[in-house]
Amino acid sequence: MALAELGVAPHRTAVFSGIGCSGKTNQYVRAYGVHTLHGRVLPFATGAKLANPELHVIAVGGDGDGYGIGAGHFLNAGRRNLDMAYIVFNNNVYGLTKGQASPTLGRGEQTKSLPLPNLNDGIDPLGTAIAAGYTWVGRGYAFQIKKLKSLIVEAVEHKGAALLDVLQPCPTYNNLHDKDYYTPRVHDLADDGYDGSVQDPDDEDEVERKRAEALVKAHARNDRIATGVFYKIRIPTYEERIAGRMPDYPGTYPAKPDWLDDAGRPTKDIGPILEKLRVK
Amino acid sequence: MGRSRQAAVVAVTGLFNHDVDPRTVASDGLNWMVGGPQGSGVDSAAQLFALSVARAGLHVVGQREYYSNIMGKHSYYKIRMSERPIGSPSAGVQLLATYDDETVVRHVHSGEVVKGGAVLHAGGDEDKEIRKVPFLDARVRDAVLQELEDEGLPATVAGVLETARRRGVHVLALPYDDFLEEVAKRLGRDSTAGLQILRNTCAVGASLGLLGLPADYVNETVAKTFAAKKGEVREMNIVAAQAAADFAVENLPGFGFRVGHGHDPGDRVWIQGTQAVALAKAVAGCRFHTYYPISPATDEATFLEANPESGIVVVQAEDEIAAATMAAGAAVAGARASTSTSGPGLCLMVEAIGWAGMNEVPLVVVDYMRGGPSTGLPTRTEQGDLQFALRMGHSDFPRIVVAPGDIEELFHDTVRAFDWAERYQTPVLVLPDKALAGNAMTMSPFDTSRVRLDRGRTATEEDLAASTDGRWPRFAFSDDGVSVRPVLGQKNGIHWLTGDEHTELGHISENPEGRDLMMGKRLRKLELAAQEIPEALKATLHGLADAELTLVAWGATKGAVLEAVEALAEQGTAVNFLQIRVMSPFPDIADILRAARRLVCLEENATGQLRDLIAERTGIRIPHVALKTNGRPTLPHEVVEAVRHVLDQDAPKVVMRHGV
Repeated sequence: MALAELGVAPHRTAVFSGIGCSGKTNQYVRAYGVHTLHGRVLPFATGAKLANPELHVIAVGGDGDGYGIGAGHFLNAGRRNLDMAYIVFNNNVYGLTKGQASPTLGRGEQTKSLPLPNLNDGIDPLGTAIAAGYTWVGRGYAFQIKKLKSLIVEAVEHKGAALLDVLQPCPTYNNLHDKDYYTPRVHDLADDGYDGSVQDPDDEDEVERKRAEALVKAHARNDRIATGVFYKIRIPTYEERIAGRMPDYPGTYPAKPDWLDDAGRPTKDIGPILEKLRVK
Repeated sequence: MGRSRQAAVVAVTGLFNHDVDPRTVASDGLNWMVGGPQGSGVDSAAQLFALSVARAGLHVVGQREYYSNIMGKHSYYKIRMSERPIGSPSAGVQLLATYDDETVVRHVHSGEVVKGGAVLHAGGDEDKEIRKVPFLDARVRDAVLQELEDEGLPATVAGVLETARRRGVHVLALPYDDFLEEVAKRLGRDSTAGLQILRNTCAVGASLGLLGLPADYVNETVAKTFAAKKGEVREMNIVAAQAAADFAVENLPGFGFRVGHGHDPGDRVWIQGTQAVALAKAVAGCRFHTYYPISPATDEATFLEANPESGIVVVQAEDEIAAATMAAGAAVAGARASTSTSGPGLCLMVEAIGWAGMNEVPLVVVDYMRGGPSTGLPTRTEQGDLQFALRMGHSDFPRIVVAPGDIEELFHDTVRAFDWAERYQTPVLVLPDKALAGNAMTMSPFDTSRVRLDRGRTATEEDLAASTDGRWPRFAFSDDGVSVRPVLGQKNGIHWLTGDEHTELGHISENPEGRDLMMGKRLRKLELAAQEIPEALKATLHGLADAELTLVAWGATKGAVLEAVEALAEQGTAVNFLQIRVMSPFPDIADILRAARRLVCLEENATGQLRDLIAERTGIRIPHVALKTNGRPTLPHEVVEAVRHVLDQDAPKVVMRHGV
């Protein structure tokens, strides 16, 4: 729905997915679909986006996939601020392998799929994303479809790395965090008058203040679960930073086949570089 | 001093082998060595020396050795120079220049400095006790102390220098401070403060003076090296070099080795393997390169980053998993993409390479092999990843593996790797080793005039026009296993990629019949590669077909083996050399092997990985192996000795041990 609203052509869109139930997402979307490896959707998607910046690249995955085995890539994507949306289907379990505790399940919680209560604390993915450098951080709820769609659109349109964590009950294995649990608890940050957008990215005080506020909101441990946009800022994207070193980018992008002529001859002349290695 | 352990194993070229005169083998050229703590300018000294003698028309091969350490531990650079083309480092040092005790102790004790050669040292530290020389391994220290005791010499640096004199090696202390005073005077300065860095130039100047190289060559090299700096910098280097040269020549009249100069071997570059790979990628159309810092691969990425005119987007990833998966993602989007690493990094990339094999993605991975296993010997060489490269990943999928034998082959094979990757739509692994990566040599600039790039069945707009609904069966069955390949973003090309077994369109499928068809399709592509890649590229028999013994080897030992073959011929022993270059698809060499009178497989790993591969592919198990696993490159004289051990004693296994 979001993609239709965005009006992007299917063939110019690629939905990358990790492994898990969420991994099957792109099989249901009429666009290029790349089902990658467990925890690795972000680097695959990053390579594709950098190779062809004109592609609309969306990465989806699960919480087990993205916040556990994928944690390294999850963090480092925040450093890069590549212009891409990452949507995580967060159900607190590893669904496809039958319901083990995921990185977001809390300590002591025991879903019907677990033989014993969970030993680990759950991480705070939104706070982690803010700390890692994501420039758009939001949370949606699967049973608020209209709002979720708007959030997806906003995440995709945001210029920079966007993380959208979606609370998504797993009816098969997670009897604790189901619709009855979430619906009374979720509320929209906008209803509180909260605005996580940084107006002036060069105003260090504002940035520090907004980031701190967003971290507090993200980390809140109470019976109210916030949804909406926690933090938003516009700073140079990774593509813009590359353009700083390679003036031809992204006009000339890696997937552009201008490196050979019609006869197959290479167009790149390495003479100038070889010149630097010349003996005389 | 050869040591026989069991009847089966014979040690060759032990550490303390003073009896072997390397000039009976690889007699072309001389070796100069500079040594010192890492971070002290050993590399700069070596560059200045190498470029000066190269400028004079000599052929030059550099061998760089260093510890896995940033600053302080021992490093050395051996420059071999010859009037004839050379393709390998060699043993024996005619001139050792250093201002560091550890270098003196290690390289005099090793016996490397030949009779008639010279050691140029800093002087002033002769009374330094061996026990106080930092960083000497216990083995080395104890051996040195034992030698000094046996010789009745004091356990000091002076004692070690005396062992050199007793072996007919000249010893000269260079008064570095005097040279710096001269520089200060000429620059009109009161003190030598800030001039310590010139010691390297002094060492080089003294050495070149002794070797009889006219000052013009080093002066021109200084001018070019420091072209971007103030004139004063050039002047101080020229004065320093001259002062040291004058002193050395005057004080060491007995030093007899000289280099010829003034030849014109034509236009040449001074280049190392990582640079060759970087340039090849630029030519081949690679426009996306990822890496994670790891010795000895990082130099390639640094070179690309410093030369953005290569047109390649270089991404430093957070780990090797990201490096490999990013490159795969870029390839799927239609870029020619690659990543470079070494053994430990390649271990992390296995899953990604398997995904690329399953999804028929053209991915080029360069593995600069180093000592393993695990962290191993991060800065030393080994040919240990062959079996790993051939079988990495669970289950079966095709991959092409190529092992170039020298820098020229490394360049062209890297260019070809991208064509092969797109033509056979599968991962290609290029396997240079640390020696090939980091050792530099003079050579003619690469000739790219005959390079023709081929994208195989990468889809064109015309190809995809046949689509009726905007989708394309990416994995459509075909006779040879290769399908038309759309890339992300192409109109009429929509398909799915997945690590799961899949349909022609790329949707997940567990259908048993479809599974067998798809597996067969993927593997069939390797048969196509086997037919299309010329046999002449896959393997070469160097030398005469009729020989007493055939050496089978691969990778960077090529240079040493070729020299050994020549030396053996001069001694009246006919040996030829079967070089295996493409490992997968494997060459058709059974006939050559069966025709050989005697076979020896020579490689730098502990178990004879090529020998095993040959047995697997041909049923022929080569009865003799010559193996080297100490992290140092194979030298020509060791190959000659190995051949001798096989011919004279029928030794089934020879272990090569030369190196410091």
